[in-house]
Amino acid sequence: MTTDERAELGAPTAAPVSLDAARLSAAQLLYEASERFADDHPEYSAKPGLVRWQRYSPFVLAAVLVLGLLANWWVTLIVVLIAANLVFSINATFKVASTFFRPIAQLQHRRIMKAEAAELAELGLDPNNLLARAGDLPIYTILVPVYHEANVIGRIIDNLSHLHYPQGLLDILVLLEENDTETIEAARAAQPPASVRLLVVPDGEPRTKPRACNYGLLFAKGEYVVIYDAEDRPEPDQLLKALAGFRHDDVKRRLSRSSRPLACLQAALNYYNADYNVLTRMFAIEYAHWFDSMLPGMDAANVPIPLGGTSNHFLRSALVEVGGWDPYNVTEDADLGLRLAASGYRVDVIQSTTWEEATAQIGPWIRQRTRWIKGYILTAAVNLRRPLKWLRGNGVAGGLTMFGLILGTPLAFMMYPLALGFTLGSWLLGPVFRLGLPAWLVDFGLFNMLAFTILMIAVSALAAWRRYNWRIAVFAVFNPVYWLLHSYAAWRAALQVFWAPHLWEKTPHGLTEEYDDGIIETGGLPHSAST
Amino acid sequence: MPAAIANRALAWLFTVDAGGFSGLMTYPESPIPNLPLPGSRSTRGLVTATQKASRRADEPRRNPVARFIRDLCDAPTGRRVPGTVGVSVFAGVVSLLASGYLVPSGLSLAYEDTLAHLTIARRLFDTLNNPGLEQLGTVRLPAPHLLLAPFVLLLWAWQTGWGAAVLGALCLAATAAGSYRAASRWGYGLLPRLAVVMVIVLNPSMLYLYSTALTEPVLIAATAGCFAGLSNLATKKRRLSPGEIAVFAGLPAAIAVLSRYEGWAVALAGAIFVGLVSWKQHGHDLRRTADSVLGFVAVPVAAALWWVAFNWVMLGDPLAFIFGPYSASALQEEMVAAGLSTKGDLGRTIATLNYAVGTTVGPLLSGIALFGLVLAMFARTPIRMLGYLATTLVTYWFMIVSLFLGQAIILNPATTDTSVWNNRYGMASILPMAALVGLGLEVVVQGSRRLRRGFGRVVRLTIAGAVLVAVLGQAGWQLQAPDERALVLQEAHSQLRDSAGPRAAAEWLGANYDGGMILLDESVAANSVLPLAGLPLRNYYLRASDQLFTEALANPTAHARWLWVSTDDSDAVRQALAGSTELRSAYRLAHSQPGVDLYRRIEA
Repeated sequence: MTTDERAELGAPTAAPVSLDAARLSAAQLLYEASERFADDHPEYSAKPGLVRWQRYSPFVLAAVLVLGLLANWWVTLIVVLIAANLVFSINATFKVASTFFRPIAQLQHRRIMKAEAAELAELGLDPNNLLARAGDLPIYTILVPVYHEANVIGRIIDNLSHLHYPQGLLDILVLLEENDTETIEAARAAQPPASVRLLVVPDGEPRTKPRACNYGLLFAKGEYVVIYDAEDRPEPDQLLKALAGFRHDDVKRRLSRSSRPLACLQAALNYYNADYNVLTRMFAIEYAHWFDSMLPGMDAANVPIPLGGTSNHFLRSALVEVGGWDPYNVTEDADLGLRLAASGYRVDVIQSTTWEEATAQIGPWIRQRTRWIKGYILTAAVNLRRPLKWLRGNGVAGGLTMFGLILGTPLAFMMYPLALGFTLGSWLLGPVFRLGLPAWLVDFGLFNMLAFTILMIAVSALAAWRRYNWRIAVFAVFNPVYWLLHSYAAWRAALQVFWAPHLWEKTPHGLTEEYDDGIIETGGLPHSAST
Repeated sequence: MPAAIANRALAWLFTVDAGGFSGLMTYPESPIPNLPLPGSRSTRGLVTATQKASRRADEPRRNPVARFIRDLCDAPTGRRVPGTVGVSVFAGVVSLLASGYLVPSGLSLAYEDTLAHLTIARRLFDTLNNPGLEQLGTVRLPAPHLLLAPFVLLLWAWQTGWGAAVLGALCLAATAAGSYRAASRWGYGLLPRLAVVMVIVLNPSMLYLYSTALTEPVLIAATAGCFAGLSNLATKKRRLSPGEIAVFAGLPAAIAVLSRYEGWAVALAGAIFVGLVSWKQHGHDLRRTADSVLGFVAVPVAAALWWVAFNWVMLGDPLAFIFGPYSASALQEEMVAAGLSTKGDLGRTIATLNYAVGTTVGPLLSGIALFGLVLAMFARTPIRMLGYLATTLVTYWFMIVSLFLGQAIILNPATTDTSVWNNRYGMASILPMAALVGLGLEVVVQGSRRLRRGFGRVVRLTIAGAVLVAVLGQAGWQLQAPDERALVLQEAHSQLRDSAGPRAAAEWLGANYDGGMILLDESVAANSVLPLAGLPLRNYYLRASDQLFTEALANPTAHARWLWVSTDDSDAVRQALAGSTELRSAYRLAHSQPGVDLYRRIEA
């Protein structure tokens, strides 16, 4: 495609595009979905992958390590152990600190809300009447990308039919891949209502969820856009809550509150099969901590929030302005959260939940987590191609998220087996394992691991107890074992960054068998995505 | 109440309320419900802890006893076994009440082994040098000491034995809860379940052992937990994942593995049971069966491997706990040589063990248990349950093998005329005995349901009363003459008498201690009096102090103000004293008791 041809395309619009038009301009639409972002925003695109210094750095580091071990293994081992413990501490500190930030921010939030209510009253505005009446509700687009989901596609329509929003104002786009004939047939057989459009994304590379979402965005009619996965069951009032959040932000900005415009609202994710087995319990605990403690804490601390991949409610114009999703990034959600922050927008959280199915088998869990961690590594690599420039542009807050979370998480998980193994070995097997290392290092390692492990267990158990019950929360003590799975996935991700950076290992759904002895309240929802 | 307060605290911490925007939007033109404002919690889908607490506050107030009784009558619902908490609390309270008599009387510290275990637990953090796991090793498995350590942080709790008693109460609560849950899972009715709990909790030998720092409380509690997990696996409609098997059955088995060597047999028997049950549940799928078995054995095997590795690292011999100088067989060599063991004699082995079981569980209840087994056979109890009962008898089978091989020795009237020793090894059989009593009662109760309604009820009440009378009556009978009828208690009194001298010496030292270090060779049984002195262990030069002990032994005058000298010729301090006139002149005899002399350095 020539530059002139690209120039003719223009920016994607909100105008409805008929399927006939899609067929006629398939190549152009594919370009918009797959390549436009890389061309317009090369500094943010993961398409080039790692730049040269990033590709060579691990090998240089490995060489230095080998040379160090050969020259003086004792000193090298000390340095490596210190580094492992520090990386673990930084990541754990970020996670624990953001947890403790939330309750403090709660108090500030209440005071602000009261002050705003008083101010509105002085202006003669009824705080209960700020939001739109039924007639003012906008069109809301729901994107549901699916791939190899023939066993759950029938549930999508049912799940979304419970949403409390006028059906006539819902614009539901089910995004199917052209080569996924089984799911296409299953979708057609489900006989979706008029508000649901089945959109077939033409075959092409990279075959990723963000590419499909970009394609769907071209057909979107709504002022707001939300992403749901195939097995998601959002709370019925979620769209209204999100809308209220955006309108509330409008009001605040009209009152000249100095806040950046709101571009996205993230809902919490909850698992309806949290009590299925040990893996789903650990996953549920992790997510309870992430969505109920960490994200609100990060939001309160005004640091950029990596999005959650589903149940993200966007102001469509803001999404289009920042270029949509990066189709080459396998964690397009985390990348988008940082990009929105860098573009001057704000991401917030809403108190609403989407029920999902937690991956219930270790194999698919490993592949899913590999993709997420790989995405974090790529997101960090993309943003830190010029580290100093990035820091100047994003400031301390951005740096905290980047180094404490985005980069800190993969590094911490990669170093975790070393730190854990050394701590356990020196504690359980005594002096032989300590290899004559300094006592201060042994004590530091033990204290570090013990203190942060206990803190992490405590905060995640509290969050899980709050969201589910104590029977789920008590499993938080197995976090140190659960993190070993993360470590395996992290190393797998690190290798994939080199040989398959854009590989999307699809997470299968419907793996949970239905059961009748659940211990969490799911509001009568079945436990299996395929039920 | 505490849960409600905790829930409200959590709600305050983690909930955002609507703040200044009170009220909700309404949409008169559409069925869309009120729009909650930003920051307000959703009222649909997720039921929050706050809402649960509010619901409970709205329910009519019930007193805990009424709620407990209601829970007892409820059958297990999915994962919940109503009544577990109440049974645990009951057992814990009874244990503490028993300890309220046993601890102040000093009887809970009668066994030398209990004092030794207390010392090892304390040494994990209170020692002159190298605190930590290095204090463990050889024949004594680490779990009881590791669990006991937090409870003996207070010197007073260590000295009096209350630390062990509190741990024992928790263990009895766990034992009762595990047995109760297992019985519930197998479908026992209310009366049989209560009978199981009563047999366990109202047993004088159990209450005594659970007030001490012996290894029975931890072993039996862990075993009961494992059996509860196995029952859950075998009776559940939903197939447990390997991870769940590891957590609910494998983890307690691992604790048992690290408590006593019977625990290794429990793990083995449990693995076989899991394999058989899973093979049936998974439709003869070998891979899924193997996954289930692997899930169960992973943690116990890891525990056992760690112990072997630990012995290898610390003592240079991975099997030091079996063959080393401090192993059971080494320590019992003389007794075996004197013909006091039942090694090689199966008949005497069985008779000895049965006598031990009979006097610990109690003769009447042992008989009822056997009767229950016979009834179960006639009632065509499902094979799966019989398999489970066979699994619960594993500690019994293990002791048969141990006694037969001479690895363990029990002395009672079946072996000797006068001596009693280690009859507490029969206590672990109380779990299958209680299960059999319950099973027998269940068969009878089910049979009574075929009778006319009123008559059947009378029969059931009579049986319940009879069982209660049997349990209480047997307990009372044993307590009437404990030295004759409860060998565990007889042995306690005997050890108390035999070690009166060293005990008195330790108490004197504690009362008259005026500072300085104490040189003591604990390998000559002095380990078993250290708590009685009530002095921090970092005040002692012990063999466990390694190099520091050697240096102090070489020059006691420069290191130790006090010398503990046993009359045993193998006592290193005695040897040092006997071999040096200069040393003898530097110390004066401060106190003497049968078996022990205490010397104090003569200060200039």
